[in-house]
Amino acid sequence: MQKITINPFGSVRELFNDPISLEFPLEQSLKAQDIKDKLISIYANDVIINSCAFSTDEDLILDDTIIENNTNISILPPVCGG
Amino acid sequence: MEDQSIIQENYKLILSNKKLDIQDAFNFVQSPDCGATDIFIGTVRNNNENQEVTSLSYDVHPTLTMAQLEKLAKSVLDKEDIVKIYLSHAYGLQNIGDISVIIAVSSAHSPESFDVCKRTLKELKQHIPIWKNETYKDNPTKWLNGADLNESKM
Repeated sequence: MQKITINPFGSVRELFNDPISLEFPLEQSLKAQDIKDKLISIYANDVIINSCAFSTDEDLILDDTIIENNTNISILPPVCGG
Repeated sequence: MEDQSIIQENYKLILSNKKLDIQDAFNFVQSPDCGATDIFIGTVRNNNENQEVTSLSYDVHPTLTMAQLEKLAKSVLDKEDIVKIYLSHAYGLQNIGDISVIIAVSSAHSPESFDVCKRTLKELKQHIPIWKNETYKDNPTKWLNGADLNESKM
């Protein structure tokens, strides 16, 4: 299995406040939507999760980017600074 | 987390849990070749959508927020007639009246500074990973809605 660790921010903290790890089959080419689908199956909240983006520590992850095994990513709900 | 800062010759970026410093913003952006400085100061308001707000808390992603602030500052300096830019944002618990954000820009003439300062605030609200959680007098707390980062092109 491949493991992806996800750090929550903003309203996602209402679903999980500490980082979680998700496992996927090794042969699966993981994209952002695959991770959203898994989170929705666990937390049953498609409104928050489908509105989120993902990022590494330095940049946003585009929808078609393959997310590698053992990656640490962040899940980012809509932003409202200022 | 610890306070974050990036200081270059023509931009200064700060993410802080301490009182934001208006004088520091002015000192940084003022320049002998600039006749105009525009400073926007955002403060914590005691009401929102007919509810009494007692405090709020900003959640930030320390490294990504700084990286995106840097991208925003460079974009402004590349595209606009701006000489220096200063972006400072608070994180953590903030009380009513606290300064939550400072945007300062300097330019040769005033129209550019006025215009860019206003547009930079809009860009910050739409693209920088910062989340606002309000605490109300009669209710617990609420995360505010915002801009979808999937649509962020900066």
